[in-house]
Amino acid sequence: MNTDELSELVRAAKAGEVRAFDKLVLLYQTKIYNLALNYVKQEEEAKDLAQDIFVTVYKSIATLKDDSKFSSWLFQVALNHCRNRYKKLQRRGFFSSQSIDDPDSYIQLATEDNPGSNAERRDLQKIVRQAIAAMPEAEKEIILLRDIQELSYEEISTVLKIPLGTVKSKLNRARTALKNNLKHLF
Amino acid sequence: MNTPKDCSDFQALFTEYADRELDQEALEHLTGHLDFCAHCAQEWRYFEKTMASVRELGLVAPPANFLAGVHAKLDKPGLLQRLFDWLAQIDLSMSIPTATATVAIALTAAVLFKHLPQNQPVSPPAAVHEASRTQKTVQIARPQIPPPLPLAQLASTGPRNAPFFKYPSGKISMNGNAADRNLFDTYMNLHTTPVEPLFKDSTVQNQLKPDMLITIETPTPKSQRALYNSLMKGGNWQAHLYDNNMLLLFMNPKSLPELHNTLAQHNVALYPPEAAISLLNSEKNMLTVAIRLQ
Repeated sequence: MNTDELSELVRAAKAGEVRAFDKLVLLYQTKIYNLALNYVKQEEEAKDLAQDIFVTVYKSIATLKDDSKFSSWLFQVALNHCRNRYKKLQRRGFFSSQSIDDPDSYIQLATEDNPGSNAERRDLQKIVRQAIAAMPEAEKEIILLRDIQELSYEEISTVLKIPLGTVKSKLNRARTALKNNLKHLF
Repeated sequence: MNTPKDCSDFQALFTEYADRELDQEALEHLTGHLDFCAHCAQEWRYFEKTMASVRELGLVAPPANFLAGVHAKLDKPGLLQRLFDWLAQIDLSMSIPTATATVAIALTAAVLFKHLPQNQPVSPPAAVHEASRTQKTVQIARPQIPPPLPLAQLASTGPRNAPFFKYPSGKISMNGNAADRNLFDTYMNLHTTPVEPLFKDSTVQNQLKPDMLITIETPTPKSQRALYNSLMKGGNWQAHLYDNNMLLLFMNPKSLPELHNTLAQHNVALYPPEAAISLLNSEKNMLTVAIRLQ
């Protein structure tokens, strides 16, 4: 979908057209769900969190001034929700009771969701996911936004509210840290 | 663009190189460096493979009913609406006299409840507050101590805010005169029957003559043990175990606030406060405090 078509969809959703809102959900649900999954690390929680994000989007889309900036705005809303939910679950000890090997953990889920890959590849993907999950929050966030969610530098700059130059340097630091963790595999 | 000077400067360009964001000049500098620096070339290969692995991860598909779940949440009424719906279910229709009577009864019940004795806050004597603020200092501000009540009840028992214990009929003074001692004996016997008399030996009974009896009902054996240990170990007093349920403390009256504090740490407050602090200004050098744990 190009920018104009997206802006038109957003305009219709702001006007209250439910079908337009549904289309936006279908367009972004995979990305938002995966962002949530990377934070809460569990399928049911991620579903609940991602749905809450879209509920907030529905209720506050009228506040969006520039329809062409919908994507950045959506990710800002999503990131706030994810961070808040993560802190809440962390306070409750949710993550201390989890294991990466749990069948409903997101790493297991993501690994099994790739049936086309061979076993060796799946093992590598599992290790890469584990390495990303183990990164400090700030580094993990920027890797997720750029390399998994495929946001542009400008979008990341808007979402994280940091200058463009800082996006590049932070991203390079995060990627370099990940490379240093994984280079023994290559 | 700042001209890269060393390997770390070149490696700082890897992200923009991978994302095809480098301008022409920077691109030529970097590729030229990678052509002759084996170390950076190797690091670049690792960088490329890491990025490729991350991009291969892909995305997990959300559940099939995801959109339906969003609508279910949107259709769920908010808290305010649910409250209104609940109120609407209640039949609030009634005649004016009935409504007035209902309101009057509710207000009266609220006032009465507020003024029930057990709902009065039991504040420890001012001396105890002072002592806790000054921690271990003995210097305390002397409170306005009322004169000992002639028929003061024995110092209290139990956790704070617990209903006041009902002592057997008859009240004991703190003055220790003969008539009162008889009543004290009666109390002790009543209190201990039908198990066994507390003081088996009347000689001992006559000899002990505690100045204060504190009966404490602890909710669990564990809390009883904890209180017992505190009283036996700590404080400016000598503690003696009379039997499994009775401790005797021998102390200077000035140590009474410390006893209050120790008991407070175990959630026990002495009540009524007047009886509890009436011995503070005792002329005796040594008080006998009997503490019964049950």
